Amino acid sequence: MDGANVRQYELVYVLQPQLDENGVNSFDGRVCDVITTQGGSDIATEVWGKRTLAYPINRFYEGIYILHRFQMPPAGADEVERTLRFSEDVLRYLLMRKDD
Amino acid sequence: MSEQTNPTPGQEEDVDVVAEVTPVAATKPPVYIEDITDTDEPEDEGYEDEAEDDEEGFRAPEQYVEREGSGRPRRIGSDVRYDEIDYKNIGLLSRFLDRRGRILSRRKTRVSAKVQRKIVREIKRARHLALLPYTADQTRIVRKRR
Repeated sequence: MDGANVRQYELVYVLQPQLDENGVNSFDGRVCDVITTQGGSDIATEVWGKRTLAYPINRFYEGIYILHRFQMPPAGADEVERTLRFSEDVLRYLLMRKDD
Repeated sequence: MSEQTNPTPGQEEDVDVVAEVTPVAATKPPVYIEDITDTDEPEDEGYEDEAEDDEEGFRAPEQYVEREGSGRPRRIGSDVRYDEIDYKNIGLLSRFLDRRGRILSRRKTRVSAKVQRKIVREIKRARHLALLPYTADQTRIVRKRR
């Protein structure tokens, strides 16, 4: 079930702008680790970089946007979301299924 | 229905103003009763009466003429392909927002129901990620700060 049933996911998250490049990279790596431990693969990363937010979040006016595309069995989605939800540097995240 | 309402206010006025006019009011009720019997027997006549009433009280054609004259584009998203509607495609989605950041209604976008649903869904995703504003006030705050 876990191995055979794999779905395409797309994950975007917004980090708070005060993180430096190392912080962003380390967080990035941590998310990727979680995805791989949950059986995910083919992780493609797009860093959009610092963008002005359309509205302030936690008194931040900018955010660092990062996008991942990957395959993962659906059981891992909860765990990925949990890591994002519990880290304070993440202003927003969006984990979506992208099935063609 | 419209005929029933017409005679009754006339009667009330007559009674209130002068007693002399009561004969006129007396003549009216029979007509009113006849109409009821007419509408009960053949339905077509009743519909014709209603149509006549509408024509008398109907004064809107000017607006319709104006609408035909205005040469606004029929569809805002006429060139939108279903696949390219995405929460990342902010330039496209922002066309479906008005100046206050509200999602345009399907009456204005003139886009198919399927496409409109997708647009709304993706706009809401983009809003969650602060790619698009929920209201225009929010962007104003951001711009002031910068």
